[in-house]
Amino acid sequence: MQEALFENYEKQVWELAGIVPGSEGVRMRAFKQAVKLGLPTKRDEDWRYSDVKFLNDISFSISKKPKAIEVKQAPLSQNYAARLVFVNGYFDEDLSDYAELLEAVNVRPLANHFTSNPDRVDELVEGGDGVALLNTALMIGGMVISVPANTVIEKPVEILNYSTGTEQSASHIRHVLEIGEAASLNIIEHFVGDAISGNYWNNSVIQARVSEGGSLTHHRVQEEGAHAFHTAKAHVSLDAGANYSCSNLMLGAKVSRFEGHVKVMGEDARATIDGVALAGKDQSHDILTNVRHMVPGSTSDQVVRTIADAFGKTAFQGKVIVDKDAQETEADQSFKALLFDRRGEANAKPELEILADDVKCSHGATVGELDEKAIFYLTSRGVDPVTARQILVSAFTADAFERVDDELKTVIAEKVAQWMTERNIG
Amino acid sequence: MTMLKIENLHVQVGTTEIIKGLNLEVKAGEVHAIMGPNGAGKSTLASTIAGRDDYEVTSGSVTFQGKDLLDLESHERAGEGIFLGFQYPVEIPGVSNLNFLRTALNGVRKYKGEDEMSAGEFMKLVRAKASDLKMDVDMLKRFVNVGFSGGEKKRNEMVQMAVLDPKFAVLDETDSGLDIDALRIVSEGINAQRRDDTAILLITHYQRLLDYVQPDVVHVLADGQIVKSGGKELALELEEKGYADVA
Amino acid sequence: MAGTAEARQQVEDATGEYKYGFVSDVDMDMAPKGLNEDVIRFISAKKNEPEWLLEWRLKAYYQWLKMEEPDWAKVNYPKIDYNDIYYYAAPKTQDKPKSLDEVDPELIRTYEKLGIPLEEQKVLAGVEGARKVAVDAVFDSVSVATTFRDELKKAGVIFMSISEAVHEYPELVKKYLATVVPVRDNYFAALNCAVFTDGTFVYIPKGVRCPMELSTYFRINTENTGQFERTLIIADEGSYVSYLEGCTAPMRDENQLHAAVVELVALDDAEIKYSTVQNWYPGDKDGKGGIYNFVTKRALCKGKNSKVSWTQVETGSAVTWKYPSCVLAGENSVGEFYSVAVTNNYQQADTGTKMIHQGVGSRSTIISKGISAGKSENTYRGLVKVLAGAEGVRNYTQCDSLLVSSECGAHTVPYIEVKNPSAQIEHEATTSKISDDQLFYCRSRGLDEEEAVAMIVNGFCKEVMQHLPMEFAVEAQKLLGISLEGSVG
Repeated sequence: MQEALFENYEKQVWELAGIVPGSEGVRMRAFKQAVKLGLPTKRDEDWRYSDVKFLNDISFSISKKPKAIEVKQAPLSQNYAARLVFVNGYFDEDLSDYAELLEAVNVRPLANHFTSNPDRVDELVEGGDGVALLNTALMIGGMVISVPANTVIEKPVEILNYSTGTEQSASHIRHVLEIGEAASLNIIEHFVGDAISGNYWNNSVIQARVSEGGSLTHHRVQEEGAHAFHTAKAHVSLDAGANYSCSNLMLGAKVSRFEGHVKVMGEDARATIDGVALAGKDQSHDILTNVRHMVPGSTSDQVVRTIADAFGKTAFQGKVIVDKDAQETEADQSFKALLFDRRGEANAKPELEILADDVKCSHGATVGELDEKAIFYLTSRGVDPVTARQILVSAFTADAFERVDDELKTVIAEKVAQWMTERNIG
Repeated sequence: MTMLKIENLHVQVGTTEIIKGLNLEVKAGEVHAIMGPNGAGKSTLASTIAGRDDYEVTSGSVTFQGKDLLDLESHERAGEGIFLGFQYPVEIPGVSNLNFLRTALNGVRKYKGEDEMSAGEFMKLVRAKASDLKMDVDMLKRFVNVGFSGGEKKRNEMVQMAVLDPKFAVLDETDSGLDIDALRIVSEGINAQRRDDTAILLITHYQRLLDYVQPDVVHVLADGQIVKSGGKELALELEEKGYADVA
Repeated sequence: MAGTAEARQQVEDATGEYKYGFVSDVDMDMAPKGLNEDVIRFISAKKNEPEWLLEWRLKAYYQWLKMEEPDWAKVNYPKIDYNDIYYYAAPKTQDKPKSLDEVDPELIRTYEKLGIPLEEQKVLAGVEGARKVAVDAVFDSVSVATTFRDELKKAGVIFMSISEAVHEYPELVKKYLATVVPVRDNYFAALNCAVFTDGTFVYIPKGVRCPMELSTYFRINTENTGQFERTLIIADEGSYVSYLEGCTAPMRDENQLHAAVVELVALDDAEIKYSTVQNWYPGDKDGKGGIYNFVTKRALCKGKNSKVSWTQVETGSAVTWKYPSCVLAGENSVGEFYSVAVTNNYQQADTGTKMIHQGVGSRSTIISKGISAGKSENTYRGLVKVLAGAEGVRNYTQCDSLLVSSECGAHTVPYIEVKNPSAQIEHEATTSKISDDQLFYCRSRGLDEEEAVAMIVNGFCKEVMQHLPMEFAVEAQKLLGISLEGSVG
């Protein structure tokens, strides 16, 4: 079955190699590896809770760059440092607004990376599985953002990924972030699908390296079209004292998945990966984390909350690895899931793999429904049941957005409330 | 007869020197009190005598009845007859007081080449000691210090001391956090341990305890050294004038 | 059996190490090495089995040939050569012994060394007020003696070796065999079906509270022998039974295979308490030798209000692969899993449980305590699954890992799969190092380091140990200490 798919994808590799000169070598290496490993199926442990059928059923074509298009999507943050707009995976210079950012930060399209840094192109092959390799083989656009040492970009850089959503089209996006020593960058990735979009596939990979004392804040708001497939991976490595703080809101798409892979390579570094996934009818949301502590004295923390309504499905697979030398690691995971309906499903696999002895690692996981006693307490004071549930759901999800700055937090809270309103569960 | 002799003791915790050339001699039958401001090194001294690992003796000597104490592991020191009453007794979930104490007692007996005490004898001993200290035996069935109030923890320390019957007890702020009744009970426990063949080192902040347990010698510890020694009247003087004026 | 005396001497020299590492000099009756249809026919013929059972075995064997050895557990061991194992080894006796007098005295001595009250008198003459324990003893492949049978019979309890039950109660065996663990369930279970040699069969009739603890002691003695026992316990409506299982093996350089299947069935209002102290030979301190313990244990809580409680203390074996599970089919049925797994030196344990909630109002509790020392690897792997129709399910899981050395590993791999919103699932896990404060406190009171570690570990395991029957709890506590010997310093 996959043979036919790969035949199609191989043609696309050659097509794209012609468009972006210098890219054919890395594309082909990744492609061959992808063929060898195959595309994930449910039999792969990391994908056991995912609806990955689409990967094996649909032969996607490379998405087309639309002719001039009007994107009305408002920015999530009014007060941004820059706005980079991608349409169907292609950078749209006209819709973007980043002149000011260029004064402090080096921002260049991925295509330029191939010619200007040929020695570093191999670094683009990252992540083991077929989905990541296919991204490398077929990437069509992305940005390389390098923040020089000691440069602090406080305001968020918003990256809007807008998809018109042609049936069976795929956009493979790749961003490379380089945060210098004591530098800091705050990005918001916003994925939006057109209202009439079809079963397109958005496959995004972010690679980031945060140097000593640097900081990367990475927020994701996923509102793909109702029929879309969304897969995203962040591969982050942290030097000493560096910080990576990630948050996720997963609302859209039919099938969506975010993977956060963090290598903590420097002492006193800290990684946090938080997320909220709200799965309505026929939706499946996955969060997978893999945080590896390789040196002593680093910390990680994960707070994930999911809600599944009727015919919705959520999963959290969180893994913390503490290497043999990584003494005094502190790692915590908290996962909570709510089910609104017996036709919903919540899965979790919070995993600890510990090879050092002087560690403090813990995880907690709960699955249940909203606390009836709390609802009664609120309603007995005069709150209507719909609002009572809203309040409890806000409290439930708020834990996972504690680390988000206020402006975005408000936007996210509104989106969660909106999702609840649509359900109107009282 | 000299029980404990400390000469020119220097102790380091991490890279910081806390005890800086301390000298102390305690004879059998004596009660010494060590007073001093916070951070003077009182608890460090107590932990060093009991042999806590992370307290590094960089120079000097500590001998107990002629034996080099610094050569011994902490449990061996207990076997020799050293007892440390902890300022903050540790909670050990899942381990009952009785089991803990019996294992400890038999460990000490084994060290001394004595036979293990039978369960019956042991219970008799514990009952007697617990009742002396007005401690409910049921409490001893609970896990070590888990869910105990501050006063209960300190009384539990005294029960342990009475059962183990050490030759030399170092009591680190045993009086802190006690109300007047508890203080009286704990003092009685200490006085019961006061004999011709034992010695006690009281570490305290306040004169209060010394009203109940009359010391033979009072020392003032400041910045890692004993800066003044005297009779029990020194404690009163400290109470009145404060450490700064006396030391 | 050459070298037996020598081996015994070695064991005596190494006192304090593996206490049960002696080899018994018993005349054995063995099947040829290796596995094929003939060996299975040989086993079946030896046991004079009915045709249906032979056919069942052969079907299982051909099923097994098509299966692959599982590799998902976090354990590493050299590939097992299934043709280098003896699948049948039985102490040679003319006939099944009628009474204890007829049992090989060497065998009796073996059990005495193991501390099993094989002779009923001993139990009766035991400590005042001591409970009676009925014992079935399985030596390599076959059951050699079952005690207290008459007294149990009066209560209506059937307690005998499974090979006897095949003849005496074929309908009961047929009705329940492989209904909880199907033949094709997994590789080792299928292997067991093909070659199982003996094991225990228990049936508790309606409304009967079994008057004493039932107990089986398993021992692997012969070199290169696999032990494939099969236990089947059925608790009929409203009945209760507490069943204990103990395991030992001599010290050998080679690894020996143990692939048992245990099936429990609890009908309406019935309760089964199943306790295991697993002390197979763990290998020496360099990781040489030891038992491969690949066991499938599963309970079907079939009836409403039925309850199955697994308690295990796992200190032995070189490699353990074991997940005593409960299928909670009955309304308001209850499953419990209390586990202590200690690994030291080069031991590897991948153990845990599965709680499959099918019944409305079913509840489960999982308490797992893992202690890793030396260079060992200790993994908790568990599944809590709630099916869509199961309203009002409760589960509480707590997995704690304690690390005693800097070279060991502790892993926690829980799976939680919920399809019903009324479920309340709670899972907590912690991994930490043994506390320096607690160690120092114990040592300042006169305990040496090993005693202090043993005491803290015992405290850490308390919640589990208290679920063991008295007779076992004391032994298990000692075992913990012995298992951790040499783990500090």
